[in-house]
Amino acid sequence: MKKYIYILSLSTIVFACGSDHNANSNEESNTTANVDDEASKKRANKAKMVFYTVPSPYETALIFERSGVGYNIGVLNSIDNVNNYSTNVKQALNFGVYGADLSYANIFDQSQQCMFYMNCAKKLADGLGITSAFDAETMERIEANMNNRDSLMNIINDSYWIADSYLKENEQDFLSALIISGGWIEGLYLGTVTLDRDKPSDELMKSIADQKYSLDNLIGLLALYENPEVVSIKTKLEGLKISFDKITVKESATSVSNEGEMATLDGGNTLNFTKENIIEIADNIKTIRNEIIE
Amino acid sequence: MKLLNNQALKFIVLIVFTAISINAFSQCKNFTKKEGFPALAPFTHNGQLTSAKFFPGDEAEIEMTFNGGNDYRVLVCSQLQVEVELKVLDKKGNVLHTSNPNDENPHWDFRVKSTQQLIVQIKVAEMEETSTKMAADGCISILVGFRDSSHAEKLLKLNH
Repeated sequence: MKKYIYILSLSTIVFACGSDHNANSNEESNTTANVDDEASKKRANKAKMVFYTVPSPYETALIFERSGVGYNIGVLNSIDNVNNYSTNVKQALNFGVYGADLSYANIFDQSQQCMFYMNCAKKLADGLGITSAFDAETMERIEANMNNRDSLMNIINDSYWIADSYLKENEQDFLSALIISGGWIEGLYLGTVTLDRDKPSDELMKSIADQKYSLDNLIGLLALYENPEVVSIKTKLEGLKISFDKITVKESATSVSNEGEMATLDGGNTLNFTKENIIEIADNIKTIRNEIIE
Repeated sequence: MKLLNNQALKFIVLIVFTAISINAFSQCKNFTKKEGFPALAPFTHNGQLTSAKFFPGDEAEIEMTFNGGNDYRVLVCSQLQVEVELKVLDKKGNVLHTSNPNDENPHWDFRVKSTQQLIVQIKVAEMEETSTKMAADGCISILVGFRDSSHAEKLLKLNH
């Protein structure tokens, strides 16, 4: 909402801006104002804009797959549940959940499951009024690329981007925040649910612990909204944060090496955790996830 | 009659503000799709719209997680005619990258060995006081794309 208010305030004198440089340079355009006018001085004093983003469910699924998580269809949200979500809040949260399930199925090349979850996502998108996210053309592209993991993932990401931007455009950005939350919660759940509680792999535990950072970003995003449903999800995630906060951080600077074809970052903070910390996180995320899919 | 006029005026103002804000989002959305996504390829975007209208002198910041084992491209796509600086810092405030002042759409590609929480800052230059140009606003999109490092390495070897 704050972001919206910011854009609203900036937009008061800038209605008809075109999308190219020429349009912006037109001195007769309504998009311009004198540099030394009062509005410019006020703008100079205003606070910096802060955005919050979290890794996409696809990125999270990829991380867990690299950490050794296998495919288990039984842990995904049932496709039969799609008919249970009648409110826009439930639809938004589970649109995110099914997006994560879709990413997970895609990473493990489960084409048939992808199609099922795609239909669930489409149904919820339609329910939210975002028919453009999975329109006929998109569905045709999906079918044509069903066996091409990377292309399919790009199409799915585009659809979720269309949904995100549609909701922001239509003053429903709190729903967008809920979609992101649903996707993140399901992504973490899928990473933790198959954890071997007796002998968890170090790599998987590290990947779970790393989600500490994303959780902070997600809570920062949700804190922008006063909608009671968003506040409710934020409160649940703050409970999860208590578990994540038991993971201690040893601060260290990040190093940059410019050898090779691109810069490489290494070092940075080190997370210290125990098996019990990770199991506690797994238990908490399971509770939160089961509440949102019911 | 006066009360009616006041109510009508409030309604008109509300309609205008709503139309203005929707228009601003539409512009940024279309700009991001047209200019941002092609420039992000072959990296995959994260499905979230991170763009807004900016004026000269504006600043923005995103704190985000970059996962170990991935390559990233941080890209700034700007409609503005003034310089936009891209800076990436670690959590201790050390500057890891600063864009070249001549870059029209600054970006930085990097590989992450271990998961990092980094701060991406952008700063739109002020217009010179002596400039005859007008201080136009414009959409700026901050895009972050990723790809699997090992997958990228395999493709690179195949191409060689």
